[in-house]
Amino acid sequence: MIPQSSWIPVLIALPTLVPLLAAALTLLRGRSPRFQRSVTVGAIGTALIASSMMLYLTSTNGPYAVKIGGWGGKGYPNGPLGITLVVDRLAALMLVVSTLVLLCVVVYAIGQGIRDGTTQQPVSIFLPSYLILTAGVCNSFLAGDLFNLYVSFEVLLAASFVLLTLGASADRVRAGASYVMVSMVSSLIFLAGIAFAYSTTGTLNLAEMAVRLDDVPSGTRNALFAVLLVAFGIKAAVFPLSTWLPDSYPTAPAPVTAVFAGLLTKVGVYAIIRANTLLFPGGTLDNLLMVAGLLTMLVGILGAIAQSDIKRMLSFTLVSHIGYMIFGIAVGSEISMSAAIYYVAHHILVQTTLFLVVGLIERQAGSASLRRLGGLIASPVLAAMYLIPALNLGGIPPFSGFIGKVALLEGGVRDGSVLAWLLVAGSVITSLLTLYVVARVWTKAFWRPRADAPEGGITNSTASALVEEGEDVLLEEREDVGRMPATMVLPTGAMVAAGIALTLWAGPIFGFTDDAAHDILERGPYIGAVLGGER
Amino acid sequence: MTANLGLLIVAGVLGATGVYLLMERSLVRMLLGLLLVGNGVNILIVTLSGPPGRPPVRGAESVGATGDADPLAQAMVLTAIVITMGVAAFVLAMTYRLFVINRQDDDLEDDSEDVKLLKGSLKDFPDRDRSDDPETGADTLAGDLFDSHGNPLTPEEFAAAHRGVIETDLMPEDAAVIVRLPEFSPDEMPDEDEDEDYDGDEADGDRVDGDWDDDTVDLEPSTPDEDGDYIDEPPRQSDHQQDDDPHDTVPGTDPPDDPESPDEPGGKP
Repeated sequence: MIPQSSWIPVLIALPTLVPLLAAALTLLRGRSPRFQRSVTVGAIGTALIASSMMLYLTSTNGPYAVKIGGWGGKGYPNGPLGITLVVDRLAALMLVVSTLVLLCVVVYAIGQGIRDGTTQQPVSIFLPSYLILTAGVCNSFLAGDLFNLYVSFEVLLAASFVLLTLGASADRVRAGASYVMVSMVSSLIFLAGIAFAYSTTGTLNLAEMAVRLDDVPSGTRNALFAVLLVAFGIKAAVFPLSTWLPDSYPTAPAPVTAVFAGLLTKVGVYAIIRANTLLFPGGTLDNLLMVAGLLTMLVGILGAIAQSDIKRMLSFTLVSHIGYMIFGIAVGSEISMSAAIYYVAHHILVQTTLFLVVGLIERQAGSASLRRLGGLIASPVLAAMYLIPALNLGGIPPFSGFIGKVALLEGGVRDGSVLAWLLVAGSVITSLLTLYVVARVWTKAFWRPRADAPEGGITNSTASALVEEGEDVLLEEREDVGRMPATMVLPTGAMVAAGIALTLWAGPIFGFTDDAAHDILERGPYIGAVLGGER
Repeated sequence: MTANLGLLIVAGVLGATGVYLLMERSLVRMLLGLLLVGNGVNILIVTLSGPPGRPPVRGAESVGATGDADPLAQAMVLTAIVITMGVAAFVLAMTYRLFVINRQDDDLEDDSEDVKLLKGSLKDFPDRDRSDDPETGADTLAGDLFDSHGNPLTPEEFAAAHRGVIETDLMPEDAAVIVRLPEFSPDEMPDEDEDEDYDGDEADGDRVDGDWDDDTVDLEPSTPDEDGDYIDEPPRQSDHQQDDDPHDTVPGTDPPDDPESPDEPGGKP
């Protein structure tokens, strides 16, 4: 018998509840930044602690479900009625990684003085929006019914609209407008999918819907799945639906881009995993997913090669590496799913770290364009903090990127179909090309002397530690170039360390993701936790 | 289950017109499109939730009515309406901001980086250094004219630092740069070896800088005539490369004009 203490439901609701309450508090006290900051860090820290406890609980006891308000709990024969929050191993792992990333990034943002590049930005709305984003992300991992998932998507999207257009400069409004439109279209498609699913099954609860969908004719099921897949595919930036991402992310402030790149697409990937395993098992659209994954990888990385702005380049590698996760999901065996989950965790950490490092580069050199950068090797800390996650992303052996990719390749090879072999080849090529683009940043921005950069004269693109006093440097666009404060370096260092930890403890973590993959593929534990069949 | 065809058609028409408006460049039209699609989807939810029936309370019947509408669908539509309204308010604020910035209309511009990439000349490629050969994009020895701290060296300092090394690791295409270094009299140059190298390369039709094939180079419209002869002519400065480079702050990094062939187009047309 699984211990069911009275505090467990409260614990599961905490990661959503605390950030939302904190957002309200920080909005009310908008004029006292110190209060805002401590409340924000406290709230996200609480969410991290609660998530870690959930990770422990689920890893020992399996999934937990909580019915908010007690609606449709035990003794209600008609199944779940109200909002259900479910946490299983997959959700708990995602929660822990996400809240860790969110915590590091908010410390970084505070260290940066919240402004990024210009003093023309409003600062009092940043932290409340960030907290609402946190609540949305956490709730979408916890959501146990389709409509709640939609609402949490909307919550995190609404917050992300504000964060992306912070300061409303011409660039950000342009990027924000297309981002808002694309996101809303994806939400509306999701909403239409919900309408179809509700009309088909008469329920919105994921577990109940999973049971009822088994009796639905396969054509209807595939159509439903396809609609939901388009909606989630836009969020996750899977290839034909990915072009919005590199246009909108890079203009945002560095910490915002970092957290978007790390988390928002992964929420979409998480939704695809849930739909593919819980609602529509059997892999009827796996071939489609495989082709999409392959194209995502290749097209994304080819786009990255052409970019001279590091942020844009990283946005393209972000799209490209979503393909790896789709690869794992599409193969669908237990080892592939486990590898995909591991890869999601790895990629959240690494991609966020790289964007934070780009923020540091901008801080040091006043630009993130390869045409202006050079000589950054003068700052060895920055160089190390770039090099480690960059090699990690490229899949160089000791790091977690290598481990995840090898596991994905193993799953693909074991699957043995032609498409799977194509994906194996595609992912090797993508990995090499990723190494090429990150190495190019290394040679250009770090090794090359600043004087040799094509536009090196425009910005202060030598490390500011090396600028002699009295030397005239043309500064363009940014007003906050200078030394890196410790509060920016330390969170970035912590993220690098977390990436290394994912490498060092890859064995136990893989054991955990194996269990998670087993759980979600078997479906029984999840459905049992919600519908009470097995408890 | 029976569905109301009329309502479905309304939903379809709203969706179609909405999608059409979403394709526009003007933010206000996009917003209108968004609202239309949103309303279409809302009607879809109401239609798909099915005919009215018994209230969702166990054992209860409607009094005085044939049935109650599905409250869950109504709740969903209500939520969706509220969300769409919030986003509409946000988009309106953004439209106003865009109008303030543009001062003419609320049209969205293309992404400047995308445009730059579309025009895509070789000069803008992220691999470029200032010292690169302006035509071929190949690395030149000028890129080595920096000391270990990144400070630019004059050709004299560079030659002094590299006098011992230069003969062994001399790359053929860099010979032109070396020729221009003042201290080097032509006697010091390893002429014989160079000629052999060049002949081999030309015979293969394959240049040393294999990364940059001619197609890419030809994006530049006014490329001077290329006869591929690399022995006599050093890489030429293309015309606008020289004119358009206002940030020429570092001496000694641009490959200087060739002193030996004054009849070349060189700098100014």
